[in-house]
Amino acid sequence: MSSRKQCNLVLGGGLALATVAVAAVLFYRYADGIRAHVVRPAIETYFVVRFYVDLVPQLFWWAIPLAVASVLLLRRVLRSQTSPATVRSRGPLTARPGEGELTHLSRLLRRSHHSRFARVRLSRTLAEVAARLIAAREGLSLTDARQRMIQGYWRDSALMHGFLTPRKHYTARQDDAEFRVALQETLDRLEAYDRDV
Amino acid sequence: MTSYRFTASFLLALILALVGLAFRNLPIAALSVLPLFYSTTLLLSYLALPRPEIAARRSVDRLRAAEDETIDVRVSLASSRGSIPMLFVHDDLPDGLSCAGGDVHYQGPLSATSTHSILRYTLEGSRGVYELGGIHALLWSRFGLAVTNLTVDAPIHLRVLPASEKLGRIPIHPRRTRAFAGPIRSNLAGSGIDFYGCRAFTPGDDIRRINWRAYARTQELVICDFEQERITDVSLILDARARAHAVVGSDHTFEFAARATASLASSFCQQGNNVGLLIYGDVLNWVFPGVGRSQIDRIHDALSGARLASKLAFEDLRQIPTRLFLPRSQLVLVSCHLDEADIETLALLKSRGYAILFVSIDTIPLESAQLTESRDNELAVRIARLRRSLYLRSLERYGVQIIDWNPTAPLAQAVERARQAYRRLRS
Repeated sequence: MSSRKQCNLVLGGGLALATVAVAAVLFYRYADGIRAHVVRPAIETYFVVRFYVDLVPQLFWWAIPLAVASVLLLRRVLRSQTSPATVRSRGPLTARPGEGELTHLSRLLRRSHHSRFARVRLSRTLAEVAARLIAAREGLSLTDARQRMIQGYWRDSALMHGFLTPRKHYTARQDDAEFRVALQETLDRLEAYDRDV
Repeated sequence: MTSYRFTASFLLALILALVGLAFRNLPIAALSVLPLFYSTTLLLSYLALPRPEIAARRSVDRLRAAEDETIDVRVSLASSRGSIPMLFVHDDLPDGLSCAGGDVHYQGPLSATSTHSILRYTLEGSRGVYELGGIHALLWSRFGLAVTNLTVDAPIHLRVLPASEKLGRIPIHPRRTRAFAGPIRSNLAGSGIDFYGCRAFTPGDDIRRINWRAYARTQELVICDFEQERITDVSLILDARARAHAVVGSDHTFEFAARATASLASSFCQQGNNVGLLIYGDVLNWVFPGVGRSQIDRIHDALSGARLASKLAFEDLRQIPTRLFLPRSQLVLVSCHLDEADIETLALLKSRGYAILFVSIDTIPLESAQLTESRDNELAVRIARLRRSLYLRSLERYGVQIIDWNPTAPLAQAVERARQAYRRLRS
């Protein structure tokens, strides 16, 4: 505790003691007057105010919070109609801060059981890998390799070709089992292709 | 605490006295005597409490320690206004530092002539820069009624450096070397160990370098040249972008990167090279190149204070300030992250004439150990491995040297593998 605080405490304590002493003497000396002019008027005021408050109907007290809530709701509705539409974030499908690549992939795979967006993201990931493999094997630039892939580099497997076309997954009527089979086959073939490279 | 107790007891006394007097009720008024006595005693105890002038001295056996080392701390207190009957002392440790031995608390008397250390403890911690601030002390009055607390300043700054590993010779081959002798092959003919080539004898050449077998075959004097070995400029780049690192269990991959950078800096400096450090991700955090033991200390100090940052301007490696690096010098990038944009940037740097060594920290073993066994996770591991190996091979095709480090094994092993691969490539 600082010396300033200590000083304040000591002075405050002394002052409070003196006040109490003076107040006690005054109370004792003028008890009747204090009771007549302070205590009794305070009690009477309390009862009068309570009497008038009881006269106000209950409906009035309930109406106040309902009116405030209505005004707030109305303002919110009006503001939502005038403000521009918010774009829904795709946050959960991108890597979270502090999340490793493998953890992110694992989360994507879990979500791909029910989320089309996760399937598209997985398809894009593997399409990039496939393009790089083609570029390495054929000695092409990445842009050319992507073009070759779009033109049908993997046409010998319709399943794989379909999987490596990310936009198809937005509209594909593919259940989870079919998606898993396509993913498995694509990954097997890419790994085999990578070993050949 | 004392002031709260005083206020509470005093208010209680006041209320009881007022109520008693208002209703002229003597028993209630009499009840106020006890809290009034207590508060008065408390006030008097507080006023009688000694106001000591305590000076603290905190001494450490070292101001810089590696992560695997400990620091011995001693705290001594001296009271210039007589002895103190009861004192409680507590030394607050900042987050990241912990007490490995001894005690950071003391309770007992403090004599006026005391000069010996009342606190002795050993600290250990993780990489960082720490400030040990004030020492907190509590003093009691004679009957323990009043308590006062003090904070005695004894500031001291400690640095916990990243643990450094002793590495073998790291295979680098920059296009530009310096004039002084060192371990790096300079691609220039002269005196050295490795054979460089043969040429015709010119007057002034050292006759000890004449190739007598060639002379026996061709009847012409031929001189054998050897490759000069020189020191070079090495710029270490530690990737401190938040998105390039991950928290894996209780570990953070940035710590592995910092340790690898510290080990590499020590190794390059010990070979006599001119080594600088750029911590990439936050504001320009650059240790100007230098040589020798003091440069190792400077780099380790900078690494001890390195923090992750997520600045939009440094989201990818394209913003690396290449003006800091000497043209055609050696760049060493330490990172856990690799994506298409990073590959392009490294290829671009390579095409500008820099020799690049990429120390890639493989986080897949760490992460896979945290995942449960399932079909999805197995597929995720396969995809991650395929992508990583493909990216690393792409970099190799651009001429970037790779040290692929699995942090569950020593970095020296990864360096040794890279050296063997480099030897195979040259032979």
